[in-house]
Amino acid sequence: MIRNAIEIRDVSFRYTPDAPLALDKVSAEIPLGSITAILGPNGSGKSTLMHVLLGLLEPEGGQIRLAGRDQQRYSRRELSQTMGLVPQDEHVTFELSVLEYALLGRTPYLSLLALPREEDRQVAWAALESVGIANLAPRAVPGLSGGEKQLATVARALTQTPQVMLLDEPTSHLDLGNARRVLRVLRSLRQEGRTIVLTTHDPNAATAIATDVLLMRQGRVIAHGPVDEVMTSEQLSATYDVPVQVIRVQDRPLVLTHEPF
Amino acid sequence: MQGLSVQEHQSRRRLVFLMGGVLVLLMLSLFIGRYPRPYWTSLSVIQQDPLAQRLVLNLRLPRILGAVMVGMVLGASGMSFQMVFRNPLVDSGFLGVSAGASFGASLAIVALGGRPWVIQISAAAFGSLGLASSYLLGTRIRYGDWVLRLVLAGIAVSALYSSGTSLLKYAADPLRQLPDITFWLLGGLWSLTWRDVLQIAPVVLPSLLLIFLLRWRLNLLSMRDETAHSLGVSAGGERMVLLLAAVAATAAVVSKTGLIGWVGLIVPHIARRWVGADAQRALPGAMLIGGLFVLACDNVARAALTGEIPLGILTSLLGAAIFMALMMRDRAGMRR
Repeated sequence: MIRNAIEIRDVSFRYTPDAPLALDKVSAEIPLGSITAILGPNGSGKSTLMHVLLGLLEPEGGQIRLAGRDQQRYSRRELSQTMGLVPQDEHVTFELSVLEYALLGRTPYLSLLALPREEDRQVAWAALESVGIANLAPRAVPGLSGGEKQLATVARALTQTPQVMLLDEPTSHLDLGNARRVLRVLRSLRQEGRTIVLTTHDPNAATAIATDVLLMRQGRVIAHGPVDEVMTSEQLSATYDVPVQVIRVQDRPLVLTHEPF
Repeated sequence: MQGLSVQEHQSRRRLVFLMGGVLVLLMLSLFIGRYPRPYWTSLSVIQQDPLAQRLVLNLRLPRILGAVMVGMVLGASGMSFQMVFRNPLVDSGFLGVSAGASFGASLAIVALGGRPWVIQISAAAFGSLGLASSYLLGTRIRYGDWVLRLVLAGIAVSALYSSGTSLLKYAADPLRQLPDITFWLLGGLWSLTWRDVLQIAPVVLPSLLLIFLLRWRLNLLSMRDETAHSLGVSAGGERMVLLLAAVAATAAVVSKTGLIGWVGLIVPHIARRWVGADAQRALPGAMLIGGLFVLACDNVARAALTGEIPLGILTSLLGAAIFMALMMRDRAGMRR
């Protein structure tokens, strides 16, 4: 019985041979069906870790297992059937409709010369519906608002029907209302049985939906575990180097940094 | 909810309409010309006048087929360049491909004996070199965003090649070589024969077929590498294949027709507006609209006046005007 969607063991990475380690022996276990938020200051290695998980960057040491199997033994196509990415800043240059854009998520299932078939369209439709943007299907992606665009990107990744969804700062460009909408969609995806990993700069977004938190600093893991254990004043203060206070509101941790400057 | 949307049905109908349009214009063009009388040669004249018959079969037909082929190549390669480089403001004329190809052809005329296949190979080689240098320069320019950088790089590389071409013109034999080179820079189809059409077809048709078959992938390749990779695509390899096909086809037609500007830039824009931005339909749209556009311009070029109007002048005139109109309207597909 596999308990972890992803197991990371002693993974190290540097961008150039003489650069400092961007990931320094990172180890973590991400349980199946969890929402894991990766938190940490700028340059702490959050996005790097995500790119290593995707196979976009090759680690110099350590091992990654996906659903119990060594990541190295996945073909690129299998990897993209297993994991979907919502990048931090997706650029859609041409005016593809939301449906056409979501259909790109079928690529891992299509051969080089194939065109999307009716089944693929149905998967894309289902993704649009579960994200709640089926009404936007005919709209051009570049004309969408920030929140709509982020949801379209989530739908595109969901069309890959992945076990694991990776989201790189999914709420960083969004206002409060739209951020909430995106987070609610992520929670509903978890209820469908998917494992979700997201990076974020907003600790309160993490406490709002995450089941687990991974705190990172300078390429190292500071703490990893269930939200209530990790999101403490001491841990967060040490991670961000500023006084952070965690209070509890309606039995949920709320993170504050309201000391005068 | 299932099945094709209203938009998709409409764009399919429009593609069929365009296909019909190309066929009809192809037929009509056979009757357009200046012999025996200006503008229109009736069917009865063709049946009775053996000279008119030969003229239609040996001069008009290859030229008409050539015009459609040129238009399709420029439309398809323009669309490929724009999507592969994620940049709606480029085409072969803006990426150093055309300028490189015409430098290569001039060089072949002046220094390499000027045999047709030498011209083609030299044009293709320098066209690719032009593209590669524009791209590399674009990645190194430290000003502006990606769209602007690539356009600037293309302008600089094209200027470099143009000055090389001018130098070759200066050095060329004014009686034997200069007219050949001048023909290049004006651009036109008046010298196109069956032999030319048959010479470029083995390069052009497979390249067009390849681009056509890979058309849906263009959507993917217009995404960033990070996204393409997360979808399991090795974007670099696929981009390279498409660019090579586009450059080979462009260089082949350019080696026979000279510079025919602006088609590759505006035709993809028109196609995206008419049949939608999804390359599954926009690419065939661009091929058909390109074919129609060049054939129509070439009909004007050869039949409107007693003397031939160089086609390159017509397409640039019309193309630039349409481009300005498109740029000033909303939803021109210029949004990033």
